[in-house]
Amino acid sequence: MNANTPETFESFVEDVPADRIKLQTRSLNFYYAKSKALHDVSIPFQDRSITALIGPSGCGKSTLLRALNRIYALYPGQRAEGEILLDGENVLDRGVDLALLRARVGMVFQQPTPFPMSIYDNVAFGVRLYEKLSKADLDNRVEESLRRSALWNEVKDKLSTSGLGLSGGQQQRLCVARTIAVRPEVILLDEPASALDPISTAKLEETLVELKADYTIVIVTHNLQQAARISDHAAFMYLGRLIEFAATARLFDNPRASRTADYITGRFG
Amino acid sequence: MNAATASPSVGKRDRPVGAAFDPVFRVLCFTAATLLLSALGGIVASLLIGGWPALQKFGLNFFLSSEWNPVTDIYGGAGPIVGTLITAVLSLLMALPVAFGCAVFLVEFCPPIMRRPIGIAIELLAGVPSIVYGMWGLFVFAPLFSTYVELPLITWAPPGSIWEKLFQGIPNGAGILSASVILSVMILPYIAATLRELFLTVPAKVRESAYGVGCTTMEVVWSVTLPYVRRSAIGAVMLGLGRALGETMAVTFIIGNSHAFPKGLFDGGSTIASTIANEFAEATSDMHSAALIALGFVLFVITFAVLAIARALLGAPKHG
Repeated sequence: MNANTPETFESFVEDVPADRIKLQTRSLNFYYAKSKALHDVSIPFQDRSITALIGPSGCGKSTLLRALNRIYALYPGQRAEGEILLDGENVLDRGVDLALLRARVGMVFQQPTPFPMSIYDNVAFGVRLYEKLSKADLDNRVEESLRRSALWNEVKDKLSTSGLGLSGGQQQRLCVARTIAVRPEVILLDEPASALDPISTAKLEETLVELKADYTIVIVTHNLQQAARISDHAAFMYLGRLIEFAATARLFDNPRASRTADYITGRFG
Repeated sequence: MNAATASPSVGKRDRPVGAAFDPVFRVLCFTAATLLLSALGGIVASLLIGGWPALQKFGLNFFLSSEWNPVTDIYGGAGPIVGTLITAVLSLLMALPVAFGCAVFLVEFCPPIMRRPIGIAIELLAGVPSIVYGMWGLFVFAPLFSTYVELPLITWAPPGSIWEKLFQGIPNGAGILSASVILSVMILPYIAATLRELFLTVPAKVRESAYGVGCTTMEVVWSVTLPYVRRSAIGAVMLGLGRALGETMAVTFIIGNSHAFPKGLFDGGSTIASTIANEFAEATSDMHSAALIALGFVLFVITFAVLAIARALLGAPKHG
């Protein structure tokens, strides 16, 4: 990185079939108070596939993720400009129901964040907000969600115990179960495996690959192998800009931007 | 210390001067702590000894009878004891919703610009001397309360209904309910400030997750924030209760100071603290003094119990 020479940012963005775009940003700019964290990011996320966001720390990948369900709106001073289209509708418009948006675009965080309640209630939590299900239907939904997040076998005998009593890896899968129980359309994951051991990580990755049959998944990861293993598309970001977006295999085997090549071969970042 | 075990030559070295004073320092600290404890023990013992004649003479009647008569030298403390509990609980019931709303607003909704002014206002409210609350209560609040709350309610209450019973008393603005209202203003800042601190201990990520599954702010507060701090929140409330139980001057001003059992919310009453403040200087007999000291002992026990529970629920004494 040469800080003294003015840098140019050429962006290489591969097309995704228009009818398969579930979510996309157009000229998205993001600000933390006065500092600009995202510059003109335009990126498509394909339906029923996994898109990985990679790049060095501070490149804006988490910021991009947090813009997609407007979770940043909890904090005064943070704002986004441009367009974020979910099924063609701009979620940045005024008057968008944020709670409803977040039910459609679920999120899993870096640290597991189980709520202080039983395992069952953790999973049923979001469902109860939006649907009036009978006890049996709710039971089914909880079981289905826990099965899909590969946690069912480990917790089926202790559903009424506190979610805080699980191991870190189990807690993270509980959070995945909680997210998919609401039946969102998009799932955002912010380095979900960074606090997990290798076995839990492998289980989580399996879970994600299975989930993509039904969901649009966007994952931020520091782990390039992980991105290569599970994602269909990958986006390399640098200094708040989208440098390259392509099919994962292409981006890793034959990157077009030199910065991408430098990053994935470990020359910086 | 490590050097002492590792090297036999340590005896030849000069010890740093400070180290020699360590035992002295230790003893000084120990003495300070012991002083505090013995002061507490002394207070309990002297209250018990001073009040013993009254407790011995009247036995259970001291707690059950509300006949408090310096002329016949018969003392039953039920009036002040019940008055203390009723005003404390009523004030808590009034203060809690407001304190809760205040804390939630500060944590969830408040624009950063307003956060400091509101925080300062809360601190100021806590810093007002209680005698000021008492004067304000008697001279400003009581007349208004009488004209705009008590009289209309008494007029409105249908004869024979439960309301008529509830709103009994002379509508002069001083009484059980007035005292409770003033008390609630006094304990409000303590509860609000503690609740706010507690709410801030909920990790941002947990709140984000709750918003992330599509919660509205109200749902986040009810379903996640509150359960997260439940135990400590009860502790915060008990701290407020402890303060309400022992408050003296403001209550003495506005409670009406009658030893009889209060018949209704507007009726005059008394609390343990107000009774002692009013009568101690003019206690006519030894038994009168003893009865007042015994009341003090009862208040001590009640307050101690409440604060002990609060401390236990708050866990480590970091909000103390």
